[in-house]
Amino acid sequence: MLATGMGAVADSYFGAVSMLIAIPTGVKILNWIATMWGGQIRLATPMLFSIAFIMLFTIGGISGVMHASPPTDLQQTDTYFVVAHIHYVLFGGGFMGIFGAIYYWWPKVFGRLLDERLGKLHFWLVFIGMNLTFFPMHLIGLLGMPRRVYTYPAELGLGGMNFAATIGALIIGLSTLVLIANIWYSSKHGEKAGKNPWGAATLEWAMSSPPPVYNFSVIPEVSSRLPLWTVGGMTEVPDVPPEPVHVPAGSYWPAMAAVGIVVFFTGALTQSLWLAVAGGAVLAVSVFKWAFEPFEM
Amino acid sequence: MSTAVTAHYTSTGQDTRKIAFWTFIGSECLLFGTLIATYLSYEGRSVVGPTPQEILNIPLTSVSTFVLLMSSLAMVLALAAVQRGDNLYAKVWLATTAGLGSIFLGFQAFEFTAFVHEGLTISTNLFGSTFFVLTGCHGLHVLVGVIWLSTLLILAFRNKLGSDKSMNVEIAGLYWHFVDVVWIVIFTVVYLIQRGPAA
Repeated sequence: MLATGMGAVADSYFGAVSMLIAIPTGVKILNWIATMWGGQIRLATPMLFSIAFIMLFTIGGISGVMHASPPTDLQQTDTYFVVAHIHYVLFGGGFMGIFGAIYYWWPKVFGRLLDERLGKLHFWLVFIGMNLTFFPMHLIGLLGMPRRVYTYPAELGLGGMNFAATIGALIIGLSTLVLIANIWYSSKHGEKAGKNPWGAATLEWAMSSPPPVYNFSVIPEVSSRLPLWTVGGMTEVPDVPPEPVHVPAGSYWPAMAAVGIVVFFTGALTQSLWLAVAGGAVLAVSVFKWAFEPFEM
Repeated sequence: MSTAVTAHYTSTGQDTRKIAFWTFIGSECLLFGTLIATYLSYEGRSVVGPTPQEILNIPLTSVSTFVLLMSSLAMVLALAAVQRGDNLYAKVWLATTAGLGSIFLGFQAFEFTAFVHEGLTISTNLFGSTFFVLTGCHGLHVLVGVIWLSTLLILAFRNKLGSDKSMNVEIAGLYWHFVDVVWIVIFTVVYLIQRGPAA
């Protein structure tokens, strides 16, 4: 927004709010550090990803606040500097967090842990690859390489850093293969997860992995922020429900209704009347079947 | 709390299905809100073609509006009949509601075709686009409502609409009244409040 030429007032506003975002972000970073402070940190794969998240997200935030100043932004905007910033935030921040979550909750969802060694290999590959790809982009951006191009004159001297970024991207691709291999390996030989493979404190780890369809057979009374680590933190949840639990059975009619909607709007967009009618018919039939489906346990 | 198919657990004091449906109505408010806002943004700014002042037939549309309003009355009576287990009048009033809704749709179909003959289509000008999208979307909602009510009517004929099913009828009623309210807003904004074209 600072490069749109809208004038000093607009520049002041957008610059100010961009800088203001840094305040709650900073609070969050300190929250996350405080969460780890004084704890017995076990550097398992999810923890590695979480620590990397904090670190890379902070780097992304710093390059972000550099955009908040109109004069520096005029230099940086529409260059690879922005690309570096957003990827540190989204990939280094968001995606690392997502990977950590995948490793953490995988055993709960699928009943088997992901392999720890492959997980660490994945982590280090993606961490190194990510930094190798995106850190040089800060530099080539400041040296003037525009966004959304992948070619540039040789005499600009950007070739080396671009090449490093390419290698980094290939490393990231390799790391994804490691993750896929891990998933495949875990499905065959993965260690079976009990209720609480990580020894965690929160409620989801009180049930089996994967949990029964109804999740909790009775609703426990919880009296602590860390129920599983507190004596008397939560009331007992029986493994077998005391009375039958009413859970709707799965149905494919909702998905069929969605198919009908897709066909209908395809017909509308392609101005094909018969497609629209067909889609509408599929939708109507699916909705009726869905509504009148018997309610099973 | 409904006495229908086993326990419908509620922790709020209201039947969860009713709350869920109100949430859906909320999303529908947003939908119609955008369409009405778009109509208002472009009102009076058509470059060519029939203007609202020339083409809208307020007396005729007042009749159709009245028809739709009476259908909401019939809906209330239908719900009351279902709640007291009166299957005969449930059928009577459900049929009346669906019938009046269909008459409204007939009026809309007549109006749309008349407009097209007079040279206003969805692609003629800004008024045509915004008008037909807004009222067309509303008309589709009325059609869905008529189908829904007809389904309930068929259930009543099969003696499957006892007072234990009153929540189903109540939710259909919520939908129908919502569609009616939207029409009141459309009628007011499009037909009754007309500003002249921008100078």
